Amino acid sequence: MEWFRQGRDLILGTHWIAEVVPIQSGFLMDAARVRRFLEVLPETLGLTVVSEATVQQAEDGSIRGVVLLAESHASAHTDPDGGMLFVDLFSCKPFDAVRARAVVDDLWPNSRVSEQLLERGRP
Amino acid sequence: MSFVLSLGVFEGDSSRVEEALCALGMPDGRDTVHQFEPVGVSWVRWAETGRAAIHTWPEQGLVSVDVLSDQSLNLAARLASIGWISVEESSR
Repeated sequence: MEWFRQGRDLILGTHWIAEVVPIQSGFLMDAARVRRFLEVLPETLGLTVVSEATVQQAEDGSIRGVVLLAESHASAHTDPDGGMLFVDLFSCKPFDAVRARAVVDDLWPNSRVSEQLLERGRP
Repeated sequence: MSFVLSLGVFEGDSSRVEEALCALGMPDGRDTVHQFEPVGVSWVRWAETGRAAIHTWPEQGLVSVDVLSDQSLNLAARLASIGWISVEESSR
């Protein structure tokens, strides 16, 4: 995973971004799976949900979902045409990105995944 | 899809977040909002063109904005149009 870190005056948190190419394109039309991701991710990482996950599916089948956390947010967006899934997690509380990745691997097995971890804060 | 992240200087209250969403070209959409006590707001909007997540830290005078969009956009310039000074912008 690529880590983007800079000397910072004030750190607000860590942002994990993953681009996922699932082995089955049908996964990208599966809203229940996206909802599961938004529920399992905070639970696995010990983050606090402040507003229940919102998931909606557009006419073209693409799905977008978000969950607000006391520590910031997690979101997921599928692009069935492009064959991809975009997920991110921003948290002011440190978390284990390896476990976040494991949640992706569990829900979308055998996917190709590209991840980035960014330190967010005042430069 | 491009992912753009920005950190800016924040003054004022949550009403400024709506202004920012308009400046980002997302005047309408589906919102998920959480107001923190005593201050601070988390606001995610899914619009036609993508989604924006804005978190404010009024106590620190900071706001983070990140946008996932199918359009390329100069976030710093758009935020500057409403007086939010971007201190950092990066694209992924």
